Amino acid sequence: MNGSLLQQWINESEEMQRLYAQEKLILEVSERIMDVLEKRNLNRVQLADVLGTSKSHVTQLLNGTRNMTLRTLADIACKLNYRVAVRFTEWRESDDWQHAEAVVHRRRLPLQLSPVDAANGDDWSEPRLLRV
Amino acid sequence: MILIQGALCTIEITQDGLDSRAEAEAAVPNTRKACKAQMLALIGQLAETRTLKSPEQFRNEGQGIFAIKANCGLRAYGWFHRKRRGVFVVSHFIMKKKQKLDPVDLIRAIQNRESYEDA
Repeated sequence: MNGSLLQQWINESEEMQRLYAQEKLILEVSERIMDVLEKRNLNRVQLADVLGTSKSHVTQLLNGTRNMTLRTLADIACKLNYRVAVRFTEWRESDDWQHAEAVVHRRRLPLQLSPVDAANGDDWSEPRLLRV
Repeated sequence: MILIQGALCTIEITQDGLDSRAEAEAAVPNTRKACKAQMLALIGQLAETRTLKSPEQFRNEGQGIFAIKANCGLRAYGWFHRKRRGVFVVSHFIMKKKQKLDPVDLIRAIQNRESYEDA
């Protein structure tokens, strides 16, 4: 994204950079939760049921109109039999580390799980991928 | 013009898209500045994954026109290029309060698509 017109728009002000970082994180977390819901063949109503809340509350969390606390995120992961992995990434790094499919499609390079991730077993929600 | 090249999709933008952005963003209330950033994040995510999972944020409005929707009403309309796979073109931005699609925006996007793809 570096050097792109979108990046120029993000860089228009420090405030925009800060807000973009917030919104990007919210969006990525929401997209990952919806990935897991798809894998589990669950919809928002069913997620709301297991969390003991309403569908509209879940929708607000996923759309970012309501702030999701770390406790709520942990609850969601727990109820879906996952755990949340946190990784800080340098801004200049590509975003695509988190999208295995994207890496495969774009680079068409062989991939392998890192030893750390492999040791965590099959329940690792988004295994980190290393280009070899 | 290329807006961003992502892992699975290249986002391009029409001249109308460039011209309409400032006006649309100017209509965003000062208390909702994050909404502009949300729009940029949605576009960036679309470039990475070629789709957005939330139907409230990425909606097929019919006739191949899609709406990218931020929470405050800021929207970008666009389409997947019919001749170049993996290219999404942003037609124009608007700021609107109501959820329902205004037919004027659908027509505007279709017209932009015709002129952009024929160019």
